[in-house]
Amino acid sequence: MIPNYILSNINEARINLFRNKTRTLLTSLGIIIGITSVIILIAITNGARSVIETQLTSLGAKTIMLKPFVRTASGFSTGRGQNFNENELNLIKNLDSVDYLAPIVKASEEVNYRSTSNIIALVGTNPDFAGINDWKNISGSFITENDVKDATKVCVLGLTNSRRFFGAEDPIGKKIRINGIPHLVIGVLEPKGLTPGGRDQDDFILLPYTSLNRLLFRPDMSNIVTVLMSARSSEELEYAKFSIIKILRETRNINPGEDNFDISSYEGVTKKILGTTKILRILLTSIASISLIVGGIGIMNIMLVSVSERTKEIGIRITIGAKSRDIVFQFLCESALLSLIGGIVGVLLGFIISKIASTIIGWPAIVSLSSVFVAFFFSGGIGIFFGIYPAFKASKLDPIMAIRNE
Amino acid sequence: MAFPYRSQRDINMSNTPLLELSGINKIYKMGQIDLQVLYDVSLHIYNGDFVSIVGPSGSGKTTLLNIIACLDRPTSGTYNFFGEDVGLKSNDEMSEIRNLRIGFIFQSFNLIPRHTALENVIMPLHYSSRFKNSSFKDLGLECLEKVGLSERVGHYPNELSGGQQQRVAIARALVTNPEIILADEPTGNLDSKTSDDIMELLKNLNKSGKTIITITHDNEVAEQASEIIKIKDGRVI
Ligand SMILES: Nc1ncnc2c1ncn2[C@@H]1O[C@H](COP(=O)(O)OP(=O)(O)O)[C@@H](O)[C@H]1O
Ligand SMILES: [Mg+2]
Repeated sequence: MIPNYILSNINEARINLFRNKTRTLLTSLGIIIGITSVIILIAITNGARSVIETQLTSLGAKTIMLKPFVRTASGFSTGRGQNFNENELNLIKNLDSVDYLAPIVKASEEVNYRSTSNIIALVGTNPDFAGINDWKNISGSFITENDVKDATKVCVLGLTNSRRFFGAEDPIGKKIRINGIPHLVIGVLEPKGLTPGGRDQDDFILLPYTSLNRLLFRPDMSNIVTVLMSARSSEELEYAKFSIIKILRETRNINPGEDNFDISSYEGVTKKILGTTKILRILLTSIASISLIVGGIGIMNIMLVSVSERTKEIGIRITIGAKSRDIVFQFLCESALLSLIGGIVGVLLGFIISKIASTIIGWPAIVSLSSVFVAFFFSGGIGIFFGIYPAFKASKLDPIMAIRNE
Repeated sequence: MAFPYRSQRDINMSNTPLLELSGINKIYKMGQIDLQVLYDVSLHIYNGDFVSIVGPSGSGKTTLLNIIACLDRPTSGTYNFFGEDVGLKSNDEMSEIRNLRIGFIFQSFNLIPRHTALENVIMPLHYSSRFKNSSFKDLGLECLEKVGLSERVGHYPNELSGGQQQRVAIARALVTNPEIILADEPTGNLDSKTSDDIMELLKNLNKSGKTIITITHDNEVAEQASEIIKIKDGRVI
């Protein structure tokens, strides 16, 4: 009985709205624009979030970065800080809360094999690098402690470089020349593909950091741009950072505030970036809400017109027994449906525009099911809210006067 | 048909009135001026009556009928409907009375143009919890058959003649099976042949037990009623 009552009212509303299609569409324009923007905004901020999240997971939530730079309160690097020495790194490595520690030396040098020659990004590191960033070999082996100790002339290829220099050939056991000096290829890494931003993560060659420094005629411990470490667990991350800071301050004999190193972890960065997208989302959503409110006022306006056009009909209905709540419900159904039509069109438009925009700007747009629900909920709610006044106005009509209306 | 039509009342010989108006006054406030339209109207209407209200235009017939119909409230006086004081009823209770116990027929038919004949007929059923949705269609068809319009069920009002539209309106008035049918100049917009048909229909309804009150200008129509109430300048004469 009750569902049938609702259904017949919805059907009544449908008949009325479809009788005047142009007016219905124009009226729901405000809602359409509002919902379209809500969908696009949520899709794009969700996309941004997922980009950031995948980037951060690939970097690892347990990772700590140590740099020999000094950062001021304003966040700028002021020249170089003090290089790390072997003793400091050993002390840190021996901490219980730290699992892996990999110094990073970077260079870009000419690499050639037979007739192929190219400038390639070189990364000098140690065996722990694989543990921190979760690199696996697809063939051969990884750098060993002995390779680092002896600065052996070995290298591990990212898949892009294996393809570039060797094509289908097996590179293991072959020698490539880096700055003219032959290096034995001991392994090829499993590919990680492109970042969502389009950077190739497999276009590099790994060497022992000691080997890379010797190749460039530098002392073993120089030029370490970053020391990557991995906490034993993400829970121990903060404790590990605290311990590292303590060690460095003690060995360097410096006070808090005088630090000549910079320690950071992605966890903090994650929170900060996600916080920023949240602010962005709130801001954009509030802009969309304004257009929804304007759309709602449009609906109220057209419903008032509709009530005055149908005064006679309302009079007839009241005469033959409609109660106030029947009339209120009838008009609320109509305004809710009107707004929902706008919501549906808005969701479709938002979906299409997000997809088009995402292919143009190369940024993923994620239209989540929850945003579609939110859109329907909002548009329905706006229709009901702004329909209340016209509906009550209709229900309060004097049937005797109303029925005389032509 | 000059002889008075004998109503069910004479056959029932019932003494307690269905509708009892006593000392009804109606005053419209028009700015500073009070316009009194009804003066001390008292009426008894019994089960099975066929009453005609006659009088010149502007004499207050419609105003009186609206009060009887529970559409309007008198300024003073009491109105008992089936023994209950309408003055004590809420608007929603009055809606329920109109829905279940009164059927309305108007001069200008007052059908809803975007709905078919059948949809118009069953409209009152939507406003009561007494009827099952599944029974709406059958009840509607039954009433359309009673008024001889079974062939026009799916037609819209603008596809029907005046007489046919009035039949749809009568079917709508019957659909909740009310005891009372009120008609305000039901033949005012119809030619004399069609008027006779509609009056015949009303008489048959009276025979089947409905109490009927109709306003009319037409003396010939009035003479068919069992009782005539004459109104002049807001007074029953
Ligand atoms: N709502 C109203 N406000 C003011 N005057 C009214 C109203 N309704 C009716 N009247 C007046 O009351 C008088 C009686 O009207 P009505 O009952 O419609 O007469 P009848 O149906 O006999 O022609 C008329 O003079 C009319 O102008
Ligand atoms: Mg009148």
